[in-house]
Parts: sequence; structure tokens; C-alpha cells
Amino acid sequence: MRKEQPITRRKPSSLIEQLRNETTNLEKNRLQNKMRLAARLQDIIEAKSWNQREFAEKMQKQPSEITKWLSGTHNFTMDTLSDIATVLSTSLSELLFPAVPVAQQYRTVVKSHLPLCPSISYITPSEDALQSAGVTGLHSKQLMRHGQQNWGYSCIIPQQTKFIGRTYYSSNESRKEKYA
Amino acid sequence: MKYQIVELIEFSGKVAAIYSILPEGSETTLFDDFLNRYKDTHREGLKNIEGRITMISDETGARSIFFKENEGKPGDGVCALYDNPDHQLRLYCIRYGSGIVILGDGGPKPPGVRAWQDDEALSRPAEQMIEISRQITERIKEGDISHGPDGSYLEGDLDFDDEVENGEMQD
Repeated sequence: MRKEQPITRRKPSSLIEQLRNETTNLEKNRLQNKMRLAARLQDIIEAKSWNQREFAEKMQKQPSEITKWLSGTHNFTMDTLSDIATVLSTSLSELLFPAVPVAQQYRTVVKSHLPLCPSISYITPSEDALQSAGVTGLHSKQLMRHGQQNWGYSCIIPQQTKFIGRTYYSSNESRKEKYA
Repeated sequence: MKYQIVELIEFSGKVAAIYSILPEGSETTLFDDFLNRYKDTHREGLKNIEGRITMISDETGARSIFFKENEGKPGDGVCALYDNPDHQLRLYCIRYGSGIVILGDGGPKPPGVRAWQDDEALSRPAEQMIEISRQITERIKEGDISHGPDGSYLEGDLDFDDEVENGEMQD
């Protein structure tokens, strides 16, 4: 029989609080920035569909060196950061100060065996949510019919576009789309 | 050792939930014991580990790149957190994806020691987490523990009554 959520520790550790209070802002920021950069590097490498070994080959480094880079503990030199940005085909500023993560490209296709219900209002995020967000210049495809009983739509959103809305379909579809 | 998996509210953040092992009859978790044991000799290392856990829970998630992986058996999730820059401490954990980490005990890794198997002080906490991971995996297979719909928390029967001592099951 399943129990509820785990019991939270009843006595918070004073030692953890002490350690936090003893950590200077310089120490905290160094740690955070190193981990953020490592996470950023990992994301960019994966976005290129590379693994660490492939990235190491392109950087002409040993895989163990890349492991250190991604550990969140490495203290990079400016030259190394510049080389990394070059290999990743990005700028140093983009590497260090990425734009706010947004939905970069989004596509969904929903098929239904039921005919469209005229009483249900279908909201296309490209028209509704983006207008609310003040986004212009959207390229989208309107509703497409693949036959009498099947339908679907696709919507391609350019980069740097932020979605704030959701699209709900008929209840028997049970599909909800999320946006970054 | 009978134990319970408890959530550490000081750490559990927006991105990952952090747990530890609370032995029956004890008021301190294995992670607490690790902190208390080395608070005088490796305080800077503990501060660094605390900061890394906080970042993991609040921002980056428990990415595999932040852990020393494969410290246990293949696929059991047992790994180690270490301090920077000295890398003197090892904190053994169980990682389930990027959303769940269970902190155990650990200790200093002496220079020249390549693996925990070569050091008696590290063997105990490592083998302990390997056994705990095995038990958790069994319950996951039986459906008594799950990771939550988005893999960001544990739910189910987190009380363990089986005896675990020195990494071996008691009959």
C-alpha cells in the first residue's frame, strides 16, 4: 500500500545554515557561475547532437579534459572559452550570457477520429498567446484537414519567441501543449 | 539498519528533490553524520559540497556531469559528489535522473587511492548506498516506490525494515 509524500526531516540542520552563512558571496558566485557554464556547455553540445567524445575530438582534447570542463568545477581561461565558442559556432557572449530560454521550434500534430465539434472553440497559440505576449512576425500554418474525419495542425515558431499559452483539444484527445 | 528516506527541506528546490537516509532511532541522517564528522577537518570542502547541492536543487538539476558516476553496480545510480577544488571529499549518493538525489555518507579520499574499494573508510558508505539502492530498486520494480509523474520526487513506501549492515543483508 502506498504512503503519502515522504516525511520531511523535522529538525533542520543548524550546521547547514552555518556553512551557508560562512560562504562568502565571492565563493558562492564562483561556484554558481562554474556550474551554470558547465550546464550551458552541456546543453549546447547536446543541441548539436554531439556526445562528449565528439566534442573532445573537435576541440582536440582528451575526453577526460572535457569531463573536467563539464564537472562544474573548472576554472576556464579566456583562450579556452574563446576556442569553445568557436567550435560551438557561437559567440563568447552567447556562451556566457545566453538569451532567456524560450520555445525555439514547436510543432504538434493532433489527429482525431471524430469530426471537429463546432461547439468547441479551438485556440491557436500562434494567434492568441503570442498576441498577448506582444509577439509579431509569426509564421504559422493554419488548420489543415487531412480528410473528412481526421484533422491536425502544425505551427512553426521562430527562435526567441516566447509562448505563454496552451492549447486544449477536445476532451477525448487529452492533449495539452506546454511551452518553454 | 532499519531506515527511512526523508526529504531535506533545506535543499529541495525548484528543480530537484534532495533526500537522505534516516536510520531508525536516529535524529540525524547519513548526510548529517557526514557533515558533523568532517566539519572541523574539511570545512571548506563541506561548504563547497553544500553549494553544489543547492545549485543542483535550485537551478541546474542533478545532471550526471556534476557527479562521479558508476561508483556502484551498473545502472544502480550510485555516484559521488566531491568538493572543489581539492576533490578530497566523496559524498556517496543515489541519483535518479536529474530530479532526485538521495545523499548518503562519505569521507575523504586519500591521495593515491584510486577507488573506494581500495580504502576501508570509503568502502563502508559506498557499499551502504549500493545496498540501499538495491532495496529501492526492488520496491520500484514492485510498484511500491515511484518517481512521481515528472520524476522530481519520490513517492510510495519509503520505510525500510530490512536489516542493512556493512553493506550486506542480514538474514
